Amino acid sequence: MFPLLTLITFLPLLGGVILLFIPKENKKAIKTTALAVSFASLVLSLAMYALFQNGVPGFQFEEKANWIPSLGVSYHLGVDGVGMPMVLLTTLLSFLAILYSWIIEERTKEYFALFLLLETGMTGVFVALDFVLFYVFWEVSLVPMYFIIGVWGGPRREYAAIKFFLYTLVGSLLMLLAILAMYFKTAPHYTFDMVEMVNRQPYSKLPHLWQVLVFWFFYVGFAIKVPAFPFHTWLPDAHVEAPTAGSVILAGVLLKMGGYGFVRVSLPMMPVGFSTYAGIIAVIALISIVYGSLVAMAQTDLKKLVAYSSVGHMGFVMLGLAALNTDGVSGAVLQMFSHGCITGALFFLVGIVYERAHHRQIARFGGLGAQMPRYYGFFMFMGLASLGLPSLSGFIAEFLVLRGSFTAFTLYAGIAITGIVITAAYILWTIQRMFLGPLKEEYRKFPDMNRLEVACLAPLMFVILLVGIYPAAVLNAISGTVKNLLSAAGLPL
Amino acid sequence: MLLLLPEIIVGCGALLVSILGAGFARPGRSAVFGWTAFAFCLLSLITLPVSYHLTSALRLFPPPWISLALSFDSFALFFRFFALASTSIVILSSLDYLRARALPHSGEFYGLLLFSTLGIMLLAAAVDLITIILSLEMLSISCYVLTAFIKRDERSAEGGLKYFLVGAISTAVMLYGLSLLFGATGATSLAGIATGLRITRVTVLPILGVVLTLVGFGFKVALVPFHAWSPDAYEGAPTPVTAFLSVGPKAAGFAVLSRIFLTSFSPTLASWPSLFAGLSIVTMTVGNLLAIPQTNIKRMLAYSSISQAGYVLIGLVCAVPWAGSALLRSVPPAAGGLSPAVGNPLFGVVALLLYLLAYLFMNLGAFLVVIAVSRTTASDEIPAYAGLMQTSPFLAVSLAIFFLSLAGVPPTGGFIGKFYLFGAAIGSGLWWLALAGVLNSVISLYYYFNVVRYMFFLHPKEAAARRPALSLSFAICLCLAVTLLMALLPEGFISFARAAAYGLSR
Repeated sequence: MFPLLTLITFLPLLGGVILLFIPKENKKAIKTTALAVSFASLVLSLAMYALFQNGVPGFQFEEKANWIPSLGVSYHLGVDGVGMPMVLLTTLLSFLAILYSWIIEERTKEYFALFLLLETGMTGVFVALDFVLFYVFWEVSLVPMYFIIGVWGGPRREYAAIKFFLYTLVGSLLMLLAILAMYFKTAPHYTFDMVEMVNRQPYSKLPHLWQVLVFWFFYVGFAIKVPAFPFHTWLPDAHVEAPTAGSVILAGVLLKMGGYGFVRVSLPMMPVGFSTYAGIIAVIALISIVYGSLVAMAQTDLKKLVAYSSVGHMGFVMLGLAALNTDGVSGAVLQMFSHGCITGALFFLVGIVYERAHHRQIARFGGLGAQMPRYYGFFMFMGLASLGLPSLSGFIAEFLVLRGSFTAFTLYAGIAITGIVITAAYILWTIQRMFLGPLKEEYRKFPDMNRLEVACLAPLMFVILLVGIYPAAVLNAISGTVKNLLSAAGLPL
Repeated sequence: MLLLLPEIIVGCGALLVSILGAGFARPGRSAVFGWTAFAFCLLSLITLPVSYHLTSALRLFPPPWISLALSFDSFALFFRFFALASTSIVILSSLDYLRARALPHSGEFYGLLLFSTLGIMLLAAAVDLITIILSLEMLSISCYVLTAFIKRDERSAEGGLKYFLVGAISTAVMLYGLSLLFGATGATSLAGIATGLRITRVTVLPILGVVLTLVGFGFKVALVPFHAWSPDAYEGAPTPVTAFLSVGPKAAGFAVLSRIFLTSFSPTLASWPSLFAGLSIVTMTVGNLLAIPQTNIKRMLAYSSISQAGYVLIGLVCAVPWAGSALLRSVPPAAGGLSPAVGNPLFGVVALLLYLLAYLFMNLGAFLVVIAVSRTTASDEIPAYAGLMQTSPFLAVSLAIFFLSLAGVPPTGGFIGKFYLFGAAIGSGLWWLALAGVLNSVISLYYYFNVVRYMFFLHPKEAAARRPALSLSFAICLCLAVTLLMALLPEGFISFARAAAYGLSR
């Protein structure tokens, strides 16, 4: 059995180790190695996509080996229709982020080594099928992000970095306690294997108080990552202060770990709990959507605006999950994939203009469309994708979420639509303020996007358009798995 | 006699080095004594498993006058290994330190270090009150002198004096408690006390005895509120001694605590598990909170060590069957592995031992880096660590990994240890204890990463740092390797801890 998933996951780590031996003055070699390794991972994950079979129950490309037999911990990897798009998203965004990071000249070696370690951690989360392995990868992705924000970030980077780390660590540790509680109910053959836990349903064997605690501890752990209101307050600081490539990865991939956690853990293992609290979760999702979008509209800093728009979009993910039907959950997963691409692209665009202007104040921009037509085109495209224009991926995802939640909570779906309207408002308003109108003097000399920047954005544009016109490319895999998941959990399809 | 061979070697080494040091001391000769001491430690380390397995293979049993005082089970084996490993690493780190500061009496230094090691080894195997007291005193007195070793430095003298005074009082308190137990049961052996307590009616006497014993040992392992001596002693002592203090006497204290409380005292006596649970939470919290404002890294690590003791206590608390009042019973090894059934006390003991093992290497490692940095910057203040990543990436990355391990972030040995501890807590139904541990881990990360912030985010004040001595670098690499190995391939370490736990329960 070819260890495809092990390779995809650990190739970046191997690359990082190789990097350590390259002398730090040889920046070209460092960057080339990092790029080559992440490209290799991307190619392998595309192979995984090509070989993936939609609708097949269970996991594919499974690998299993003993790790800690005395505890029942194994090295178990596998992907299903939910994990596969996430792995693809991770490798794609990591490759593009490393490509964009070509401009990093300070402490290059550490930067790329950390980035590669981060890629391993993130990919590992999406392929791990053993709880301890899942947890280890989850935490491993925190540490490099802390350093990336703290060393190469903006003026308030130290504060943002430690806030991000501590905030997410609390969530992770609560999740650890919940994992342990479930573990002790997998008697008599104790195991941390996720597949086994879904089969044996240890959650149902817990006493009631423990059930409540376990569900909400898992919830907090994942909700902090998503981020759902009110655990979203780490996000603006972390996103704004991180370097561009860091923000892309943070918004594009790290946020998806939370949503993925809900689909992988909360839904199949705690279906009764989830359906009991679905109403509360839907309300929280709504607040995220509406509140997040409103706050985004009030922002004057472009990067912060995009950051808050993430809160709003991820609210749709939560809403879709709370709907607990095929449309809703599939829409939620598709929204994760789509939003990853869109927001990733948006952060790239913010970075591009920041490189030139050295500020991100929307009001100070004006008439850029005339000076930087290519940039204007990309920004318009991504802006429209963000507000859910039909024929782009955002629309399909949000439509599915709304259709699913309309069946489950009609009123909430109605309120959620206002979120889309608000999003459209601030996106279009931003475009108008930045690109239309007379060109301000200070921007007269601005170079348009160079080839590197176009190369970073073009693949995302392609993917967003492809999924928008032909969503079956990823949706078949997603909905196939979601159907199996929901029917196994005894939830209505 | 074969069983005692490791102790005999260490004892001979201690005597030899002390006498040689007294007789043949020359300035700059400290390395000779150091390497001699190291050689004895290594020899003892090698004979440890050899003597253990040889005696069990040859079915040799110790004569009664030894077996009444010392028990050479796998639990003792664990701590004897622990003591020798910690001393070996400390010796490696001290070679350059002593030479750089031209400290006199280096022979005595290593002699005292070996004597304290001997004390720990005997303490771990002690099953009689008298043996416990004697070994404890051997350990403590050596440590008092080692703390005050830098004669001309007032902080060293102050630390040593505080340690001595508080230590003497705590020994007195503990002695009083132990004597009350003797009075209540008429026996000085732990087995005898166990039997005696089961027979007699529970009156004030044994309860007071238990509480005072708890207090006495609480001082030794620096639990809150018996911790006040610790920061001053740690800050003042020469850093290799601080490193030793943070692992050696602490582990010894926990060894004795486990043995006494888990084998002799019924859990309903003075409801000591609840007492320990409360102490654990208070220790973790106060230790972590007090570490936050520190600017001296040795003081910060002192408070961190205090709170780490709190985590270890979680394991001790969970080693008690909370469902009933039965004593710790021997559980036969299950076919597949340790059965972590709800309330299985052995899981708690395994957790305690595993965490101590991880703690040994991560804490020593952190102090070793402190020694290395103080060599260049001649300062133990945290701002002196600014930009260490750029002047000495090896030291900066090592310290970052040790801090991650101390906070319990994977993939490190500290995570495996904490995983077991929280697992034991949840398995015993004590989710609130686990929650306290978890929240404290987050707090601890804050002050650990304050140092990391200095190392990675800020710029260095001066140029390249002096490379640490080869022995020190080797020791750091060793600690680093074990810390990471414990997370990647934990099975071996877990088996070691499990075997030790079974040894206690037999």
